[in-house]
Amino acid sequence: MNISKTILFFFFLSIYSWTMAQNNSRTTFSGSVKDAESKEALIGVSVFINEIKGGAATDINGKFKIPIGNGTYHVVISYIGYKTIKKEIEVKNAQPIVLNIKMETDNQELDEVVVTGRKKDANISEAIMSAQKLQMVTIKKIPALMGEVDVIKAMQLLPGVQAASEGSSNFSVRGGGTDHNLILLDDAPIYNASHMMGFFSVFNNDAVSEATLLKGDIPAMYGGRLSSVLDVQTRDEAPRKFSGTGGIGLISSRLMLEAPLFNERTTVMVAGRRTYADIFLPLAGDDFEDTYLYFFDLNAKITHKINDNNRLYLSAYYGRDRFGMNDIAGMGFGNQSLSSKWKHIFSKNLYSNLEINGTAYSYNMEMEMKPYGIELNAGMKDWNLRYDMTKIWNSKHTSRIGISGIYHRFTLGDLSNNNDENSVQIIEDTTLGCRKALEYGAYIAHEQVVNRHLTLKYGLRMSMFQNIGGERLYKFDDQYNKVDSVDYRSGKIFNTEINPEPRLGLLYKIDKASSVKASYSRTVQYVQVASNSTGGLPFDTWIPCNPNIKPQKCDQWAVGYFRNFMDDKLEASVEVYYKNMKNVLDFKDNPEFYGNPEIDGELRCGKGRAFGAEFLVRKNIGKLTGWVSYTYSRTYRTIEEINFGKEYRSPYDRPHNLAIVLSYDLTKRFNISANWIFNTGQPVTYPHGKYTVDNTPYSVYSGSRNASRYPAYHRLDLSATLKTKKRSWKKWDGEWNFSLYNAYGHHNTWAVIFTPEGENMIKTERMYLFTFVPSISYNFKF
Amino acid sequence: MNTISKSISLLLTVLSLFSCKEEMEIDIENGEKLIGIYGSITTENIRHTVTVTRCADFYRSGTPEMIRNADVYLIDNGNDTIFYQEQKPGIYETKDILSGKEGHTYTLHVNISNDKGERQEYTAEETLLEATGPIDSIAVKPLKFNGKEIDDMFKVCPYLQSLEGKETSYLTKVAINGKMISDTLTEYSTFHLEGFAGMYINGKEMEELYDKDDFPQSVYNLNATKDDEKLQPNDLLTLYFYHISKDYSKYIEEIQNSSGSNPFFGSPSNVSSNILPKGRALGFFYAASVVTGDLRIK
Repeated sequence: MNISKTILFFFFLSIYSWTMAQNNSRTTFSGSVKDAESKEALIGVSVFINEIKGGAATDINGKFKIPIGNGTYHVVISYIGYKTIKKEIEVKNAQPIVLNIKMETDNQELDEVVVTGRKKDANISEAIMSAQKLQMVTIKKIPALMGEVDVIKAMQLLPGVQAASEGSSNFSVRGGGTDHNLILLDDAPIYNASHMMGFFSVFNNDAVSEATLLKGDIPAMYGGRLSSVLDVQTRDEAPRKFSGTGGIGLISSRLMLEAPLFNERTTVMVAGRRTYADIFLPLAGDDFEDTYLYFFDLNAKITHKINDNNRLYLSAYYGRDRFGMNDIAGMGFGNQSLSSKWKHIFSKNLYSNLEINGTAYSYNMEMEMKPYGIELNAGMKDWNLRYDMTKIWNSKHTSRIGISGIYHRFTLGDLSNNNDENSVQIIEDTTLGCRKALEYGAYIAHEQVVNRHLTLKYGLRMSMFQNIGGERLYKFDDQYNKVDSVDYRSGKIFNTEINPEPRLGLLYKIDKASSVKASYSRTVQYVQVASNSTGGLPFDTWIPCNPNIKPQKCDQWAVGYFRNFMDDKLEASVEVYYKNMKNVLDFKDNPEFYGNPEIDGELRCGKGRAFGAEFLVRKNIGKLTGWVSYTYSRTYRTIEEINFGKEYRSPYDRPHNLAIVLSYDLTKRFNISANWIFNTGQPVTYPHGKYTVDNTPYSVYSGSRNASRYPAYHRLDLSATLKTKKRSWKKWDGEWNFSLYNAYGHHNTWAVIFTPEGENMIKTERMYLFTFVPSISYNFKF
Repeated sequence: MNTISKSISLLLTVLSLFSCKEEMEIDIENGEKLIGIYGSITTENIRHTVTVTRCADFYRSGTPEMIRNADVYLIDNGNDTIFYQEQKPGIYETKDILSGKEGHTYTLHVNISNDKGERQEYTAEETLLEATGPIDSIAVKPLKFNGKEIDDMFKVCPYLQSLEGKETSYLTKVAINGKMISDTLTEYSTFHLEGFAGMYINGKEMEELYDKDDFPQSVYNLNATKDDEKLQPNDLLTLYFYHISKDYSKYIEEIQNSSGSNPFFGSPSNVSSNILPKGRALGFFYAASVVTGDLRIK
């Protein structure tokens, strides 16, 4: 052993001895936190020790454990919706301290706050970045179109998220496509989250408990989409008695009822919503007399606590839009989902979730023009099985592992004559076939608290995708001409894709109020929408990847600085990201995607990139709440056969995006809210000339794609909410909401229309949807 | 799948109820001013024309720039050459009065000098399809929707033997007193008979299938609020019934549906063309058989 090695040995020995000496005077402060009334364990309660400027959050069992040394400590136990508890504890001779706490609800707060498991300083202390959580209480304060508050519309006001078009429920996250978002309703994927051409989403705000959007740094447990995960959970909080909420608006009404059953071990929630916009259609003229246009949806959820270690959840959704005229033509579309979850706690440090869910999206159209009638049916179904386990090794190490499998079935379209024997068979009954596939995932992820500053997390997801036979696959040459076809027998696996998806994250907590986070994630997407509509259509059919369509891949790097002010009342953050995408898809010019069995030949594949910086200042507590967000972002695609092979703007390339969302409680009963939004105009392809045929001029395009832009988009929305007076004898609380959408009536371009006009001219007109949309609604709860 | 395209148009129509329009100016993009070639050969015994123009600036009014001194000729079935001569600037006519032959394939050649004096050849090919049976008679009746007559709208209903083939494409135009009222491409009516293919149009077999209110069936609708579509006693209505190729039918439909940009559709692009080289020229050359019928209004 030479001298230098000897010195090094003694150095480490002395460090070790010092550490052991420190540990000898240390012990643990542990305990559990429960709801005083329901005796339910509370998850995510903040247990904060003033003297060490740190603490812990309760785990899934409501338990916590904090290493401390001898001394006197002041502990603050806080949880949103509950009265904060302050305790003094004294540790002597390194004796462990155990404290079991029962928290009482804060009735005053509960009127307005939905309980969530979020720590006050979660944005600083949790090792996840690019995540946004919105509670319904926040969402309900945001002024909304026609007074209908909506989870997705609220998410669109957050940095890095853009509405696909005015009023649309489709959204782009950090430059991704609208089909790059995994939308989950109680863990079941929703493939088309829109009602009424997107003006409403499928989420009934009375049924929703909270929504979380992960824009990057996507945990390894999630897969299958490139850009984001929107996780919407419906209510499963145990109510103390039969209760409900609802609302009556100008175009829709809704009702949610929930009740405890069987000694409060079971909770049942049902919610429904129905629009009645069609009653106004006759005002548009006699032609619309027999027109129907409405949607409805139903949510139901049962939560059953078998015992302290086992809990079952069963959630269902059914929604449908109907639109038609005079029994001549009609269409319908909607989602159905059924999800079940078994949450099992093996021990205080090991728990699991088993999920089985099914989801379906379908659309149908009928046309009855006697003596013939035709019908079209299309859609998709998924059956999903998932099992996840979480192991908390100690306060510094937590591991998660899981497996999942999805069976996809895509019905691309069955077109048939109606069954009336007197009808003319106007078309050949045709089917575009059915594509089936299996998608598997297995992951392992670990979170390691290295020290009080540094937390690392690392994980790997392995995904596999297999196409199952029973379909005809067309083959194409380099020019996308069909050259051959192969009929794969039913059940035969004819294509397999396997991809590793590493996920890395880092949290460096600078001090109590600030931290730096960084993340890298690779995501892979195997299914996509076969449509080039940016706003989203009910007829958007999903198709799987196959030997013609390669899986889309995305590598995302992000770094962020997070800083809280005013005792966590004010959150601020800046995040920068860069995304590199492979095998992204776009359509060739003049594609035929409806009813085309050779749709694979219409797609073009290339690469994409997106980058940006997101700034957010958010205030969650106090009379004035809300946020200001600004995003600078760019997103491009490069596809050899489009735009002469040069890089072009994605339809969601809108560099400047500003949202100011503010809400102020003037009194306990009266609240005013406003939001102002400014976006750079959407990229668009404008003509460069015109060509005239038989006295009809039409637009000529240069082949450049998305080289121009619509004018900038901006609008101001206002709302005021007046709560009815509280009376001790009243079992009913109500509130009136008045809102004004686009208060200064800005004409935001929704579409640009070219119409031939005399002398070989083309008239250019902008189409705009909404100006000054006032609304009034009455909301109640009991 | 036309059903979906029509449904999207229906959605747009409904959406337009909740929307407003206003004129706007757009920044025009830069691009090459392409050549446009549009011409035809039909079974009519006439001088057939080909128009050669250059695509114009978007905001330019008046007639487009006509291309002079082009060499234009047609190869009939790979053998005979039919020469065109420039009748007016950019408008080329066959030297002789002639009619196209059913089943013949015609290849159009247009040679133009570019700015550098180099010759560029453009070609297009179409096969002239067989004609329907002759138009035996025509009826003009009020147009009804859901059993109710629509004000000032009339339907033109011919009686003739159709062709077999569900995807056979037809085009109809109407002239009143010799003046073509279908004088813009947006007024052309294209359709397929699909399940009725091979039937006698508006014959007994079809009559049994339709409700009384919906029979006879229309192939062209007249809007009497337009001066040139108003019928008076003694007027002579002439119906032109073309059998056209599927590609030409698609071309007309694409122009009629090219409305601009909106979130329901993807990025707009040029209407398809059968002029080669692909992407270097606009327009269409079509070959069609045509039958005509007259009706003297009483």
